Amino acid sequence: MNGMRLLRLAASLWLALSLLLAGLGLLRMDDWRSRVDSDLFALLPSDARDARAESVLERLARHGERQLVLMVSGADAATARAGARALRTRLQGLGLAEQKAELDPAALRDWFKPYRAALASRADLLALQFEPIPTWTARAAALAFTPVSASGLPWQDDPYGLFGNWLLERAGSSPVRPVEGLLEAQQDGQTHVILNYRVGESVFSLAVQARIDTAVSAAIASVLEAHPQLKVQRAGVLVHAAAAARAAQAELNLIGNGSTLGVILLTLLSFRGWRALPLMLLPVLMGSLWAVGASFLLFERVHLLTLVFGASLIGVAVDYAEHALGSSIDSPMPPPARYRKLLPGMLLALLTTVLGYLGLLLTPFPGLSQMAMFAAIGICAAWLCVMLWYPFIAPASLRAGPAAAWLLRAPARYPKWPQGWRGVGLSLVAVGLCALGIAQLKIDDDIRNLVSTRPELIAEQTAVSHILGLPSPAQFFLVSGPDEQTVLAREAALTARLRDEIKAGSLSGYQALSDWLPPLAQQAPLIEANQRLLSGEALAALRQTLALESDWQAGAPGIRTLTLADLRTSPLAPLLDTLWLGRTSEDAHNGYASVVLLSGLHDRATAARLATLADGQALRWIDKPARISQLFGEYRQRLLALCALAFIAAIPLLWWRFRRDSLRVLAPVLLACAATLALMGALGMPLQLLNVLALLVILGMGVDYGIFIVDSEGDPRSFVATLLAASTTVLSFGLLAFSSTPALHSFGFAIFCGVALSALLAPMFRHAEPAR
Amino acid sequence: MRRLILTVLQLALHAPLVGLLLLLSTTAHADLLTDVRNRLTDAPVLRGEFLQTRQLAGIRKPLVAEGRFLVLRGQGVLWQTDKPFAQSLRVTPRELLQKDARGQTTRLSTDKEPVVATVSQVLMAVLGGDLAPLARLFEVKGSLDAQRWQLVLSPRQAGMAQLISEIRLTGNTLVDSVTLLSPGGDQTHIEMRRHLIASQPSAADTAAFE
Repeated sequence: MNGMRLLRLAASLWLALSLLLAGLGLLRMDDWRSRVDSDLFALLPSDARDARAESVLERLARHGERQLVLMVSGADAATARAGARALRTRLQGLGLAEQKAELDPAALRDWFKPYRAALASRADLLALQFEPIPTWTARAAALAFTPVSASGLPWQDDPYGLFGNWLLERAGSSPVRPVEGLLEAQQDGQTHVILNYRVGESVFSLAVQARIDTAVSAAIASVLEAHPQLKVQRAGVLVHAAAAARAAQAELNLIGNGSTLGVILLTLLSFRGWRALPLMLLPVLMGSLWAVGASFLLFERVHLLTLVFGASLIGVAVDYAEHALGSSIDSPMPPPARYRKLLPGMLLALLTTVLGYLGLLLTPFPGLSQMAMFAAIGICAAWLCVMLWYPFIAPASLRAGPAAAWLLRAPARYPKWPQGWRGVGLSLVAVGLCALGIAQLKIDDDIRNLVSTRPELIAEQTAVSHILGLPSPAQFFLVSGPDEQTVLAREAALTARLRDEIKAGSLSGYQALSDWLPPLAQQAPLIEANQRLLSGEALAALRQTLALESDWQAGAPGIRTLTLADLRTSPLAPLLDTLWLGRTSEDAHNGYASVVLLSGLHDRATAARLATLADGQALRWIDKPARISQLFGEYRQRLLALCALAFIAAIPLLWWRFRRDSLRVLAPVLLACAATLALMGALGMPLQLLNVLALLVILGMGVDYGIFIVDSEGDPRSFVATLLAASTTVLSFGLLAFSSTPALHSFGFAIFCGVALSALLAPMFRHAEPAR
Repeated sequence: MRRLILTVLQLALHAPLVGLLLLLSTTAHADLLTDVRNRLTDAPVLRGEFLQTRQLAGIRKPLVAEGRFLVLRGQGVLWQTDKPFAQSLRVTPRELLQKDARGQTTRLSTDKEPVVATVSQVLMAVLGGDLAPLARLFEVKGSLDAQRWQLVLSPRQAGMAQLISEIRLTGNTLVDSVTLLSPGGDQTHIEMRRHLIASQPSAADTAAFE
């Protein structure tokens, strides 16, 4: 009776803790809800070895994620402007801050004017090296007779047009111009009016996303109604995040409701009366409570996908309840004795499952480890609920429902894996078929294939990026050097190569500080050349050719060199913040760094070619998608090894209890895993990290089924419990296979096949039925 | 008292009329450009001579140039200076091409730089007499009588004001003079004369735009 008292104490303690957590959850509800995250970046591993690149990526991501660009396009400029103004008015009060142009040509001209002797376009730089004075005199004379100057400066301030050409070259880097208080770009006979916003609050708060996205969509719809000939396109992380969050939430509801409904239906079919129903839902409730509660206590932010994914993993928790209740069908055994008898098998089942999930903690993906913790805690809580509370609250015995009654009679008819050489033959055929399928299996670690994207949103994003030349936030060059000047010189060498790519059409543009701030080594000779052209022989030639007064002098451009410190006070300061990293490390060789951003990079061949420009030290190519894909590949291999290890590790555990019957436990799950892989191969689904994760889960659950079947020594109740448990799991994961997110879809599919096969195969390896 | 009430009533009745008149006069103003365009001869080919005087900031004596111009409707404007030395400026919808005394060319294409596109539009309009695109870019004021018209154009957009602060045009059935004021203080005055109109461009004309 001592054991009973201990059990009672543990059950009370567990109840008290659970009530405490529930109370806490109710109190902190709003706080918890505000901490749900939908930032896909948060799910990605950060590369600890490369803090500098990571901090740039983070900064670009933070900058990009707050940007929302709306582009109103139309053949008629006035209509497009009117539409944009109407849109702007409708968007007021949403907490969106409109961004002004970074490159206002007039402001730039006036700011750079005192430094103009140190600046020249690339073509002029070359000409200054080779062209003789008469060439320059002729050019100045031609400009003196031209009614309009490119810079807008009087002729005397830029007689050779060098500054004007530099300004034109700079202005050419962006097609956007301020017009009548709006930003505009002209392209292909269309006027594109741009509204560039910064979102005030965190974009990844679901509430903000929903509010802004809905308001923006409504505003666009009303503008399009007034001006049907216009087109409005959106770009920004917010747009995609909102769409992804909406889809995830819809799926969360579908999977949640679907599996709940399925569990209820199965329970009613399996047990006569309604009493099993609340018992079945209790562990799910407890599992969810503890998983959610512990996640919010352990993690600062909980990702939406954790909730989606974790919710279905907890579906596994029902298994224990089903096994416990299934074994009580028409059972004469008193509950405490029955639960004592169940304990070793249940404990083993819990261990194998939780160990499988905790294997996910070994991955570098913050998202996955969060899911693993979520699921492991939920499952433990559900298990404790079954083992501690059921002895007190479950009825001594339940009566079989129609489905269970049918299944209880089934074991006699259920096929068995043949013994002897026929069994060996069947095994060989199965192994051969699996090998055939697995041989077809392709490997694809590219993460871009895992992200769910709405094609129309991608098309809008591409169109806007194309016209605005928005730089990629995840692929760029990191240039470093021992001092500012070396960094700028290395940048200049890189951009020369990039211009070749632009000429070839594989890039549309780049952003580099050295375009605005040439290295001093370039500025100094330029100032000298300018002075030469404005004095002595050149000046005399100019006076003579244009018949100027003998004392005429050009407006003095000065000899000021442009420095980084100067640039900080310019209208370009925001660009500087993005591109210039400054002193980032104590490294004497590469302590200073800057970023060169690219736009219009679409094909992977170009990305691969750009990667070869980098030397890995002073010039580094950062390609986050490629890097993560590579990590996915590495961890796919590592997890596959973990699967094998887990399988081998299970053998001594099982041997301790089942001895030679361990084969009966392991054979079905091994076969199910192989068949799942084979099926994926046959269907052309590629193997990647998430499928391997699914294998790990299948292994955890499949071993459970084997344990339950073999542990029951032919008791048909356990046959019922296993099939019941598998049906609920398959139901919840089967629904996951309908997810529009390719990652969840392929995970769901693998689990669906693996678990169903494990459950169907496990009874084939049962002991002979005891005589009834 | 009755008198006062009557006056007030009259005033009240007239107020909308005065408003209407004001409205009409502004409408007439907006139509000035249209009236001038209707007055202008619309010729496929127009050629003539010009005398250009540039008063540059910091230079006391104006720079005077003489030369010929050729306008092919829809194709562009060729501005050929003969004195003090031979050089040319060719403006087409695609590019600005300047050829200096030593035969060196500077090419600015309009698709790369919106400012160049706008400037070439303005030059084609002003030098070629096709005033339609100007209404979008400039505020138009001026006067028109049976003999002559004159227009004063002020830029609407900051981008344009950065390059041109004002344009003045005079003429009758053809544009006679153009004055361009730039924000830096340089001024250009162009007199156009001895206009010749043709309905077909010669082979040499066409070749000039290839």
